[in-house]
Amino acid sequence: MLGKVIKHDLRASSPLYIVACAIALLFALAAAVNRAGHDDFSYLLLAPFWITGCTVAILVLVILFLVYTALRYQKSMYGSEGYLTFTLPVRTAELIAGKFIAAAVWGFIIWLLCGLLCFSILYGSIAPSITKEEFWREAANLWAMADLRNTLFLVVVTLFLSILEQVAVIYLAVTLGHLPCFRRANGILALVFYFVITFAEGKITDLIPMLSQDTLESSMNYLISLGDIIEFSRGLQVFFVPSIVAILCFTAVYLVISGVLVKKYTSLQ
Amino acid sequence: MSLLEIKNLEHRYGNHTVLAGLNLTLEEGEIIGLLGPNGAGKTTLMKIISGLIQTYDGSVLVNGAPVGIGSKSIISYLPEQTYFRKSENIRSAIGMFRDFYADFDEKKAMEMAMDLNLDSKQKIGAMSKGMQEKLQLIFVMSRKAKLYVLDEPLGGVDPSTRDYILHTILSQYTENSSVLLSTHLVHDVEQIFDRAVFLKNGRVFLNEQVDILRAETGMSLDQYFREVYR
Repeated sequence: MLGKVIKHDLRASSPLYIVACAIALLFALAAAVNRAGHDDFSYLLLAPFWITGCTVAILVLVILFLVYTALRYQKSMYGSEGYLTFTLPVRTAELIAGKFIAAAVWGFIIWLLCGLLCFSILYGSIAPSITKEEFWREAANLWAMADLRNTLFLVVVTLFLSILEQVAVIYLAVTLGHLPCFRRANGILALVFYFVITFAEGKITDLIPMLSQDTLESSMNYLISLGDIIEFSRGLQVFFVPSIVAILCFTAVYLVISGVLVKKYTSLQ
Repeated sequence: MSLLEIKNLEHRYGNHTVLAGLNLTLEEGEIIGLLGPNGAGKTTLMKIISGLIQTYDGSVLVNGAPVGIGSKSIISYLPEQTYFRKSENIRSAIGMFRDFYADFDEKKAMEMAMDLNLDSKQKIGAMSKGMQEKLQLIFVMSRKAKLYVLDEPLGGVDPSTRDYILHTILSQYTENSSVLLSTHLVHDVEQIFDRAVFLKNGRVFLNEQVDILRAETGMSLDQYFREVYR
């Protein structure tokens, strides 16, 4: 049943995401093609437009993903679609997991697209005097630095997992906002719970010495003062592993609590 | 083993007690009218049986098991509101029912949809509300369920649609299954009921075969309904 929940949830959210991703892809390609194919004058004329478009596209994609995830969850569980969702012969755990995995799939696609948009911004911003060959040679040089590469990988993984954690926070917030004791303003309550959970998570994270705000700030200041990108990236790696573990733990806890609440306190009154 | 066995069912909504120690046992092979005025707890009872409300006290057993995956796979529930996504088309909705319900007869559903001159690629959101309700009924009745739970299927529909709905229910219903149908339009449907369950003050006021009720009271079910809830 898990596979079927994933399949139908992906299908339900695909129309909006396909259009949004297609538009974002268009901006990414346009910025890159503009850099590669035009003479200096038209490049300078069009580059700001495409680069701004790419930047806006990243913001829009991320916000759209988070907002739409919340809306889909709310609608499919506590809106009119809930009358079908909760009468399906599916375990609550499968229901939550299926929705989460479907959201993760879209999150992954959007995250890939954001990566592509970032690259297009970078590539599209290079001055026309630098040739394509020079650009790729410089990129290859940077890629050859193992520490930099590893840090980049950790950054990318952490960002992706953070997106998934946000999905879990949203699920929990919406679930809390629709508990039977709250009979009105469920959407606003869900929003309040979202901020409360995020705030509480920040406080809990501060209790972990390696991830506390103070440690992070002082370490960052120290690393920046070194003035060496390799040392900087090597120093950053220390923070990412505990961050990833913390993110995974929080995500699992949020999903489990959501599942328990949905199972015990569902009430489509 | 009874198809539905409810003991001491209690449910509150805020400070309001909707169900107050309700007891009810239903066997298979009957069309049961769940009757009562607005606010009697018909919809709440149906939601509890169907698994939409978990917060209740008491025991609800469907085919001997508590409400859960097992009960959901043998109950076909028609709520008052339409639950399909507006952007979905009929084919996609059929695909969903086929995937989740082993007892769903896809061919029958498609045939019945074609009888209404519906195009399988037509978006559900583009249909009128009445047509959406008919479509939902088709889907619900295209399952070979043991218990059909139909919440006010006749509320707010025109007479021809009412006939269509009653015809669909009767033509799809089999002797191995039961239909629990809530309504306050007793006059229009009393001829199809085998049994009537009256709800009053959150409890079962009466649970009797309609023929016996008519013989004992000398009234039609509708007349008796009006007498009870006067």
